[in-house]
This record gives sequence, structure tokens and C-alpha cells, in this order.
Amino acid sequence: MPLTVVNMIPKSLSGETQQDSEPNIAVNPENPLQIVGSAFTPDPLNGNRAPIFVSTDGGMSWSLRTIVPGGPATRDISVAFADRGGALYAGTLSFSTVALNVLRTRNPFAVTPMTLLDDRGDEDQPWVSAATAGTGAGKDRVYIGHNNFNTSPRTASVELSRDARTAPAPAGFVSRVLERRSNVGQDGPPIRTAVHPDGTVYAAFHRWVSSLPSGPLDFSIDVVMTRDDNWGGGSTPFRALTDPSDNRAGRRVARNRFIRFTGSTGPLGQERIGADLAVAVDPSDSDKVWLAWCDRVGGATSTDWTVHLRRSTNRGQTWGTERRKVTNAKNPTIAVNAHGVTGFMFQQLRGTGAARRWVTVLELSGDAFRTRTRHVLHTALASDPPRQFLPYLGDYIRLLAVGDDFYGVFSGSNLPDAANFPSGVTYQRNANWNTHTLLRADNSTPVQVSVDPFFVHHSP
Amino acid sequence: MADRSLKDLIGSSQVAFAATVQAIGQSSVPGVAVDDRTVVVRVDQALNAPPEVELGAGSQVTVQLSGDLPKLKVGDQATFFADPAVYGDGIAVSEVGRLRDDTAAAGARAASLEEPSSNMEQALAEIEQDSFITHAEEADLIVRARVVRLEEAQTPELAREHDPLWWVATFEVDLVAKGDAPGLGEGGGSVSAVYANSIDIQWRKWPKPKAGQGGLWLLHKTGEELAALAPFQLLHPEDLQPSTQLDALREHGIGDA
Repeated sequence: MPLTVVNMIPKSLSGETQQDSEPNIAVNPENPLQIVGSAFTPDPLNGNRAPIFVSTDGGMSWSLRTIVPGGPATRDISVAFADRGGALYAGTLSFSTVALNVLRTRNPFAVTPMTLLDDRGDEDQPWVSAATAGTGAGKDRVYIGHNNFNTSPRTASVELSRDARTAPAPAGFVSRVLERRSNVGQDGPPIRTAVHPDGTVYAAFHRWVSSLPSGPLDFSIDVVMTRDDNWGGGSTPFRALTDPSDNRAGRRVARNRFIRFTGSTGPLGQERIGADLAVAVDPSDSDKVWLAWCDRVGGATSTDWTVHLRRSTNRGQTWGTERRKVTNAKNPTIAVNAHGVTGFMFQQLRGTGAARRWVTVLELSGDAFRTRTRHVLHTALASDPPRQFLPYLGDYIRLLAVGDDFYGVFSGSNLPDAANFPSGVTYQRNANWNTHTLLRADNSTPVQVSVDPFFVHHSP
Repeated sequence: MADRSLKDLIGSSQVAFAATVQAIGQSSVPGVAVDDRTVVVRVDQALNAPPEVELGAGSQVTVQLSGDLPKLKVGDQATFFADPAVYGDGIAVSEVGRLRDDTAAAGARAASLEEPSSNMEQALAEIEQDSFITHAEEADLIVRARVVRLEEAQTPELAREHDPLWWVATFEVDLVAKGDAPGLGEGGGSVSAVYANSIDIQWRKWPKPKAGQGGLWLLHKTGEELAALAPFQLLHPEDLQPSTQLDALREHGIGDA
């Protein structure tokens, strides 16, 4: 089957009703049957460690391991495997302290708690990617985009280690500032990284240029791409790509874009907006890099939130025309497979009024989106279930490629209605698909609808 | 391991259930590493577990027995106190304590009764009350009051995703149970407290007073950063309690209540 969608909540938690939003995923390149996921899922027994989702059968079944230290849940969390060795890395905002925690485990499928490698307060949205350099066992290179308010106003940063697999804490992790220009006082929350096996590392961020008179949440931003050509080495990495207009490090791919940063309100359905960004590099050619972001095309008087997708074929120096533009959508994520096919996943709010629906889409293209194959993975009423907190679906989702296969994760309503899953779905938790009712483990007591994480696998 | 009280066992574990050992060196949850201290038990009665976790009678749980406690054999019955490890088709837990007699099971909670009716129920109630008392001891001001005003206190200069969005609640006080503050006397008065009004995940569980809401409020002095907004703050889900908790404060000699 080329396309698989799996609800990741295990059978034993059939009674759970948490808002399991903001998912992330990591696939072990050495053994793609081994997959790890994360979300805002708390430990149902309220223990002192948060769970991660694990699968050892390629995502067909999932269980939870309570191995993330810092409390019964996490704030933001993302995960990544390097290319070899099987170590899993996580960047989290600790539930207990809200500090950035960099974590590692040699075996995420055991029940041993992850090891804390770095711990620093006043941070936001860690985003982990990793690779392995060298031959043999090699060295794990780990890159964690993070918004580091300790370096205000230039907050866009990458926490990196060039040899993270075995060394004791801090395992070589250091933080490097990406921002090289003045800004309004901080950069935006998302800092995204993409690593190529030849040592090329891309890192993109939102430079908040200025506040706008239209409102306290309105900002003008640049979408900036940086690059390093040697695994982020040295004390001043990510300066290989400069902007021709000012010769500073960081190519401004889009300039003076309008955003309304609704951190604690939700104008797009029940979701907040203001911080969407994704980057991916072609694994067969590090010159080819993709970038997606969101802004409000119509400016202060508009209500749109628009995804833009662009590509560079010369290492980020110049960027072609928009390959995709999707209105009222968020959470863009991109991956490129071994044959240069680009996967583009996002979540779009469609329809009007009470009929509005969140639609999660995976698009695939082998010709830079001159043509594309579109898969609707999920569609559900935007008003149901009611929001428990923000973010409703999450400030991000994730798509990865290993070989020719795409692996992804998104969150959405778990209403068991086949019409909501046009590409099919498998549930582990109990449900009656005829009555569209979730059921507890006793297989008879109804359970209210909530937001769950869903795994996606596309195999050509 | 020294004998531990039921209350201690409950307080140091996340789940408790009475069960019978069915198999040794096996797991009912795929992927769990097995040794001679890994046992599969059949739950006879769930004693302390949230509704999200199904531990109905007859369900199987894999238990990694504590290395500090004796091994068990098939057919042994015990009350297990454990922490979570794996949630899959079934559940695997790590044992932190055990009772071999029926101290806990015999006193399992009787859901139909309103009053604590068992050793287990009593222990759970005591733990909850201990938590409240500890929290009350840490509070700077405890008042019986109702909310008479809510207003936005501060708009951040630069928005962040996890901004608290500070608001200030003004309380009309009719009883001061602990502490003192300007504007408060024997007959009551008014006092204000800052709180995080954000529904971001970071602040979702912070108390968010509603207009007209009444109860026993546990307030904490603001630090330097928030002192300009209000003299006190709400910062914990336990900062709002039913007024009936005044009795507990009196029993423990807290404040003037």
C-alpha cells in the first residue's frame, strides 16, 4: 500500500482525551522500521517523565515510553535520529522549568530515561535535525534551531554538536547565533535546520524587522536562509551564504512580509498563527534547497494566512518563483527523497462558518511542482473538538524522507469517521466506525473526541 | 526494604492495583525487555488509577518487580504500587512498592460512598489534604473572597508564543485566614492579584479567576518583576479552594482562621 495513515494512540489508552497536538517524528535511517514520535501527550499516570511514541514495525503500531525527564509532559519537543548508531536526540522545553533541554538516548525503545545534555532557560521552540559524518561509526552532528532570548535582540540561534553520540554532557553542544542584522528586539520562534551528508547545513529563520502601526501583534519580517559548508564548525558558522544587497550573512529570501503573531488567540479556526517555517535539502544534491513559510499576503486588513513554497538550485543564492501558494494554511513541512521527489505537507482551513474544516494534505512532485500528486490525509470540522489550549493542532508538523519513502506526522480530530480519512486510516484505540464513536478499553463506554497524532507513510 | 505505610506507598507511586501473578519472565506488552523479575499479573482490583488508564478487573499488566523486594511466583497475590513505563496494547509498569496482605485491597474505594470508606481512600484523601496544607503554609495571604474586577494588566512590548498575558483580579474579601495586606482589616476589604490569562500550553493550568467567582484564595507575594502590577499573584492550580477548606486550616493551626 503506497500510503498509510495510522492513529498513534495505543489501545491501552483508548480512554484518553488529551489534546495531543504539535507532533514531531524521527525515523532511524539505518532501520526505518524504528520510528519515534512526540506530541503534547502527557503521561496518563502523571509520572515524573513524559512519554514519547515508538514504533518498531515501520509505524503500523505504536506504544509510549515514559523516558523524557522534566515532568509528566513536555512543552515544545522535537526529535531526530542521526544517520548511524541509533541514538535519538530531543530538544524540549521542560514541563517543570520551561528551560531548553537537549536530550539523548542510545536506545529510545528501552525504558531508560533520556540523558540531559544541556539545560538553559529563556528559550523557545527547539527543532532538532541530525546526521552522521565520516566513515564507520562516524560522528553524530546535531543541530537544534532555537529562539534564544539570552542573546536578545539577535535571538535566532542553532545549538549544535559535531560529536554528540557518546560524550558526557554537554556532549559538545554550543549555541551559535544566526542573526547578523538589527531587528525589532527579537526574531520569530521558528528556526529550522536541514543537514546534508556532505556537511552542508542550512538554517532558516524569521527576522522580525519592525513593529507595525496596525496593531501590537503586527510585524514586518524577513525570511532568512543561512548556510554552513562544513558541519557548522568554527566559532562563526552559518556565514557561507550572504545577501547581495548588504553582504551580510543570511540570504533574505522574502522581505518585509506581514505577519500577525497571535500567540494566545486563534484566528485561523481555533488555531494561532504567526510562526510557520520549513526547510529541506535534496539528499542527492546539496545545492538544491527548499523553503516554505507563511505570511499574510493581504496585510493588516486581510484575514489570510498563506503558505509559500520556493526552491533554490544554487545553494540558496537565488530563489525561483513560488512553487506553491496555499491560502489559509499553516504548518508547512517539506522533504526530498532519494530520487529528488519533493514531499510537501500542510494543514489548510477550508470552507466558511460552521462548515469550516481542517484539511491535512500531502503533495508529491518530481518536477518542482509543475505537476503534483495530491493526497488528502485528513479532514475534520474545525470547531470540533473544542480547544483545550493553544496551539490547537500545533505550531508544527513534520515530514521526513528516508530513501524513497516519506514519513510524516500531523495532529487532528480523532473522530472515527471514514469520510474524514480519504486515504484510509488505521486506529489502534477502540472505535465504532458505524456510530462514529470512540470507545474505552472496555470497548463499550463512549469517549469524547479529541486531537490525536497521526502517522503518515508514503512508499512509491 | 523497610516496611512502608500505605500512605507512603501511594504517595511515591502513580498507580496501585491488587493483582495475581500469572507468569514469570514474560511480558504482555511487545518490546519490553524481560528478565526473571518481569511478571505478568491479572488485575483483581484497581485501587488508584486515573480513568484514562484501563485497569479493570481481569486486565493484564506487565510489572517489572523492584530489585529491593522479594521475587514472586505464579499465583501470588499482592497489591502493587508502581510507576508507568510503557503504554501499548497493554500496560507495563515499574514496581516501587508492594503489600502482600490485604491492607489495601480490603479497603478499596467504594465508589458509591461519599465519605472515605477504606484505608486506600483514607490514604488518598490524606495525601490530597497534606498537599493542600503544604501549599497553604507556603501562601502569603489566604482569603475568603469573590472576584469583583478583572482587567488586563500589561501588554508585552514584543509578543512571544508563550507570553503569560498578565491580568489582575480584584477580590472583595470577607475573611482573612492568613496573612495581611494593605486594604485588609478584620471586616475584610479588597486585595488584588496578578494571574496568567494565556491559554498557551505553558499557562493552561494556572488559575484564571472568573467574574463573581468565590472561594478560598491562596495568594503569593509578587516578585520584583510583577510587583508593579499587584501585590500578590496566583500561580498554582491549588490556589483556589472551596471555602470548606477553612476547617482544615484551623485544624492545622494555619493563620488566624
